[in-house]
Amino acid sequence: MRIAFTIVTLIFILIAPYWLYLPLIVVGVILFPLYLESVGLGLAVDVLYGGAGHGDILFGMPFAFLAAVLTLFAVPLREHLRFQS
Amino acid sequence: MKTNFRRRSDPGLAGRKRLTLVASVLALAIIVFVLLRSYIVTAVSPVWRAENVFSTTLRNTIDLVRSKDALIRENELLKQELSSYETLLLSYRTLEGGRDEVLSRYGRDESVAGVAAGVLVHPPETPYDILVVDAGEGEGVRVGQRASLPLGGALGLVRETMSHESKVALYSGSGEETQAVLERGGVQVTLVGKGGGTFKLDLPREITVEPGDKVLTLGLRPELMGVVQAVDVEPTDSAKHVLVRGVANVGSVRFVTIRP
Repeated sequence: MRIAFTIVTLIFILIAPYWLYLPLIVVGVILFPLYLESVGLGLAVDVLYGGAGHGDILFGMPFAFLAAVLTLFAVPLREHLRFQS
Repeated sequence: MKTNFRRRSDPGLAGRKRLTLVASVLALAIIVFVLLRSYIVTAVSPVWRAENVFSTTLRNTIDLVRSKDALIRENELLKQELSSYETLLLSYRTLEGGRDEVLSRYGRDESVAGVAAGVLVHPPETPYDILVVDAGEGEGVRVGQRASLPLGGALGLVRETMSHESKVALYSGSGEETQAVLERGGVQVTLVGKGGGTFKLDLPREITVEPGDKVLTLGLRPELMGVVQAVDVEPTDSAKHVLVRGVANVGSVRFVTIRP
């Protein structure tokens, strides 16, 4: 399920609008524990579409950094929610 | 008193392990980014080309099943539009020819053909205001060259080149500043990109500007950058806030010309 979701998101990054695949990455971070694949997916967005004058925003990799931060904060949040439920 | 429960694991240790893992993955990602980015784009470009062919075929197929009457009406409207644009183009070409003749008399005869390129990726497929085109260093494209629409209209600058692909940063990219000139009065202005093919600029109140005014690039052969869409001025404001629409719908550009 996790691998299939990652592959589908990667395909969307290649062919779909950004308002489809960026929320998918966030959904992956929420759905799967420690979804480190999100960093790779964010990197794919930065490598394929970034760099053209955006080198000063987080070293030209804003989406990879944001995915890493989201993944980092998602784990304690999931544990907290699990504890509450 | 002896207890039988196990000590809870140190949550700080788990957090530090997690942070180390994420940092390691990010570091690996940075290495990949620096070393392999041009190869990744080249490897993916056949997918973009195939997707463009597929979407064009799909569009043509959908047109086949539209009602005949709707197609006939659209055809008539497009013919009328085309006829008016042909007349306009003829007058512009005449003016352009006169300008080139004057420039050549002063030794500024610079006719450069440029490189024609197809657009592989455009917004909103990309969250950035860029175009990925199918011409790169192998076709003579270099960083810093200007990209325009085939019949004129400035789009942006080449910022990154690969062997057969290039990335063009649009002038209308969010936060991008570009020097331009307002055709009415020849006032030099600074266009600030807002994204989505639009710009904003601020002018002193005393400068006259109306919707429909053209904004051109600087230089001896100015190109159209945009058209003033709206002018907003508050009674207590010392400046006019002008919204400028770019030359093309960036989401539907299919071909560009790249010139030095």
